[in-house]
Amino acid sequence: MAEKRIEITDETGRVTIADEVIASIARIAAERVTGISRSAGTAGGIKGIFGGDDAGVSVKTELANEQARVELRIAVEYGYAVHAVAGSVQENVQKDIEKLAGVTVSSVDVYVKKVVPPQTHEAGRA
Amino acid sequence: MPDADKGNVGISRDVVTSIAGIAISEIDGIANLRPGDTAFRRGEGMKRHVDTNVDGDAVTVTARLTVIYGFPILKVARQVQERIKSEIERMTGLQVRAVNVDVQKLVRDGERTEEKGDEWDEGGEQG
Repeated sequence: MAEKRIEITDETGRVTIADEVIASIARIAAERVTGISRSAGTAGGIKGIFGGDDAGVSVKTELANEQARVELRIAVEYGYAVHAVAGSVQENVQKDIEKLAGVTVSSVDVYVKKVVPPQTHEAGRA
Repeated sequence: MPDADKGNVGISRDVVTSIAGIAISEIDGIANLRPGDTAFRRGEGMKRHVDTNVDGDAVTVTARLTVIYGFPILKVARQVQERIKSEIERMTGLQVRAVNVDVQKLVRDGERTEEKGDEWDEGGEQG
């Protein structure tokens, strides 16, 4: 069964990590890969220039048996080798989730849904 | 515990909540409660992040936190648990039975959390 969070209880109390946190780690880890297109909307900036959220990273996570399964939809910037970018995303996402959340990642599925023009990296970023 | 001859000393729940909130703000890696952060809230606002339950001399605290990307979440959570427990016990003499930490969000360092502040009002998935 899928859970909404990771839960660890010991004598001090309970620690939970929401699935949203796992998804955020995955998104940030993916966005750090060179060649990935970041959504213009994340910083509240101009949405929709390249088709709104389509140009960014979207994440689905599923927690089951203390393991995380991650599914990402990404857009790759024009000029980068798609398979190499997707491979780096898989690697980064798995590494970051395991390192930061202490959760084992069973799989990272990556769907490349779009190629976008190279970004200028100045539009509405925080 | 206070000397009965001198009268009673009562400690309000708000005091315990505030101690917990300040204790949290001393831990690295927490986004929404850092000192100097505009989103750092004391007093009333702290109740968004900290629930305190005082039952006689026993306290249970639940903290809802946003962790900054890059920090090991479990380690940060453990530090929060330990700091809250030791500060409350040291300052009030009450017994801390449990400190629960719910990590609800994760942000990049420097990312503003207060604009999403309203989401915290729902109180998460507390049962």
